[in-house]
Amino acid sequence: MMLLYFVELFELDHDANQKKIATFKLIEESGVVEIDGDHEHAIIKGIQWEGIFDYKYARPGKLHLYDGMKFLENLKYHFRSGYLLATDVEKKVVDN
Amino acid sequence: MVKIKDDGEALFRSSSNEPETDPFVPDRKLLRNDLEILAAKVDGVLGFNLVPTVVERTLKDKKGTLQRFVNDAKVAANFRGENLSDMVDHSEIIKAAVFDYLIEAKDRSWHNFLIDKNAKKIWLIDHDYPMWVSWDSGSVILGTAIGEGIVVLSDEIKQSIQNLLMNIDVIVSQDAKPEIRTIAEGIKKRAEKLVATGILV
Repeated sequence: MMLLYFVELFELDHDANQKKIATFKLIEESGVVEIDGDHEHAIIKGIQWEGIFDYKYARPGKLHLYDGMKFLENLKYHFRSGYLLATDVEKKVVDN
Repeated sequence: MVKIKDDGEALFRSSSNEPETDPFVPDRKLLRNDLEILAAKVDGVLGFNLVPTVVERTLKDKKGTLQRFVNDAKVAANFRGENLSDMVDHSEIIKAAVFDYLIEAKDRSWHNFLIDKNAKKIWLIDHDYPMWVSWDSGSVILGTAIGEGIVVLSDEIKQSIQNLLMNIDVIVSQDAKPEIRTIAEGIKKRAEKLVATGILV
């Protein structure tokens, strides 16, 4: 058994319906965030390529998937418009 | 998302729904409403029509802002790889660049504005704390305008800025929060500079 941390990313379509486009997942021991979703989606490609700022602690530089939890917990600040919206970091226990 | 009777949808953003333990500084939440409203007022006085209408509302005992949902536009990050100036009118770029210059936008990434390709129009969103105060990634729109030489202000835009200068003390009253007054002073100084030079640099 181990802990899985995850953040879900939603976008609003033309009719204001919310649709999940990705789940960002971090297995406690791996330290690298993985993405479940359409890797060809422009938003997903962009975030993998460019990373995100550290809004939470305002540290210089960018955060990438390999920054693990720091990346995960900043997603909700990066995607905060409502048009794109990330959840808080959630966790669940999964089998090995 | 909130449905407005006979008038589309709007996005509600609470100013008070974050846990107090969140180190994303509580002050940022307290200012969020004021900052979103200030952006809409500045846009309104300029007459640029770049910021979707924002109003303060209390929903289910939570104070926040309600902003019109723009259903014809998508977050600009969906169009990375395309040139901004191919997707929207140059008049939109210079107006948005002037707006971002005036507010000294610190977080206008491709995630903080919308593009309506059919109308060739820009909509500016996310005027909360990181946009005004805490961050410093600048404005990709202002960068595009300067990079492509879309920098000379038309008489119409200069008149809009003059109008802002005449009304800045009206839209930010003397009893506004000190942080908002400080921001307004910055807007005023930059507006005076733009009027004097007539060019975005």
